[in-house]
Amino acid sequence: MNLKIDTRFVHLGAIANRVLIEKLRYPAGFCLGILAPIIIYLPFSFLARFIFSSQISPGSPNELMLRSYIFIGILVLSFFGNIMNDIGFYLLNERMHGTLLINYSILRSVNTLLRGVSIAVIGLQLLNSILLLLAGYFLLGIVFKADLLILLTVSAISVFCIGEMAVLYAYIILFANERGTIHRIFTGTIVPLLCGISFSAALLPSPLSIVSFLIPITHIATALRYALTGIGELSSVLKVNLPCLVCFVLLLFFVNQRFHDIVVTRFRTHGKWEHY
Amino acid sequence: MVNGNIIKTWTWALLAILRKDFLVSSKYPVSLLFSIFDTLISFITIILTARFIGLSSGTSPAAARTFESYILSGIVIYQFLDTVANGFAYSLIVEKNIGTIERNFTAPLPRFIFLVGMTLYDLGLSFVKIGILILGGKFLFGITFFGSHASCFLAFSMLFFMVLMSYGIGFWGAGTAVSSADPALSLFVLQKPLMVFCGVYYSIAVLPFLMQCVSLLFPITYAVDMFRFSISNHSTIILPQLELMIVVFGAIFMPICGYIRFKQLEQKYLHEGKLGQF
Repeated sequence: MNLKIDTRFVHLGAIANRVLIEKLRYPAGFCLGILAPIIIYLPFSFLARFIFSSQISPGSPNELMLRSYIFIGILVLSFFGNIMNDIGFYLLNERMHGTLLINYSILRSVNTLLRGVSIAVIGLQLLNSILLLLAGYFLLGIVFKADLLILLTVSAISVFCIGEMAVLYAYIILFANERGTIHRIFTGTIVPLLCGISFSAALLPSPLSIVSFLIPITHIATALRYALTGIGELSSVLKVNLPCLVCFVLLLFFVNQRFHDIVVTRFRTHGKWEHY
Repeated sequence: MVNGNIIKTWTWALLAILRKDFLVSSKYPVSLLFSIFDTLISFITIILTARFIGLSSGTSPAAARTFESYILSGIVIYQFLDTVANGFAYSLIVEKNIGTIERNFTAPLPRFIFLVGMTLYDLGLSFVKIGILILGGKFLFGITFFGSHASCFLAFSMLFFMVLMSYGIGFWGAGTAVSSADPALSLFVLQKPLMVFCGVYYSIAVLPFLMQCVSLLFPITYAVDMFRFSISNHSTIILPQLELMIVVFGAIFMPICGYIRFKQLEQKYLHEGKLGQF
């Protein structure tokens, strides 16, 4: 039993190490991970200044709060998008390069492979987010008022939730036809619209609000906003967002197990391990 | 001297490339539909963000409507840069990845015609997107543009000049993207900052001084500003006549510069034998 657990840890470490080596080979991509959210944030920030400048003096507390609100939203969006991109396409790439079968033969589980990848990708994205937060504080004047206990809790649950979403996404991408479009739909313009990234989801019409409530990113953005900047209400975070996120994690975990069985059975039956 | 037969050949070549792009695109209907409505979704997000900011700042509904028309006009003209320049570069990257770029470049056709042909489909798509944006603005948010026949002519002229400037950025971006190890990164770095500097959503007056200085160096800033001036009567950054001159100069100068840069990079990579390599 112990030997089995030890072997699994060694496997996870080896996969994570391999992903890290691949990622660090392209440092420009890592730098873009910090630069891109700032470039996406700036037009919104100047738009806020533009609208505020016609009303009251720019730089007022309301404007600063609003900019922090948008900044945290974009941070969550960038974290989510990068993880979905890196983990989501991993199985497909393994299959295209013809290494999926050999990796499965060693690990006896596709899920273990994806979790190993998740450790490295999420670790890098967390580092990326910390650097982005520092850039926000020092360069963009974002105001933080962190509630450390809530921040740690929300971050831990969010990481698990996004990780599980990415694993599910990897299975979907593996069998999808128009992968590029599916990726753009899941991580592109629809998420900022439905999840209240740059505005409150309360502004959405009621049918879209329901859809918004059913997407974990909405809850992650709301909870992280409270944890990092104090925007929102603690009671709402504790009673609505965190319980919803825990439910999403559990649901996604079971769905992923089911998808894993389907993928393995399908591959064993049809022998499509190395088929593109 | 260019005779009639050559023009006919070039036209057929342009139509052949357009037909190829159309056939490829129609093979993926979900992608085509999403690429059209993607622009509308982004626009709705920006308008809702502006409304959210307006609510937080206590802006009156009338003032909010002004901001919304301001944003829509910026997005409409910026559409060309986003679609044409990006589509152009991505078409070349796809050609490179599937290994057909070198063979296509050896076709007895001026490179300029070949490159322009690759943008025709995206250009058409830009007009469809602009139509959807204007209809979406009118029916979803009640945003309308106003102006006389003269201002309409000026607005269409600005769209035309913006297309030419987009070709300039597109040539430059395509050359860089084809020769780069990470094309998406090159395109992002080359094009996205323009959105920050050129006042697509806001007046460049709100930018910090240094950023304003950089912003004034781009002819695209003046094209966006003149377009806004022509359709919704917003005041211009500098004298309208002077802005018009800068826009015309940019529309001539930018495609030439972009094309020269593209040829330089093409020659370099042809000699090194890297053009056909993925």
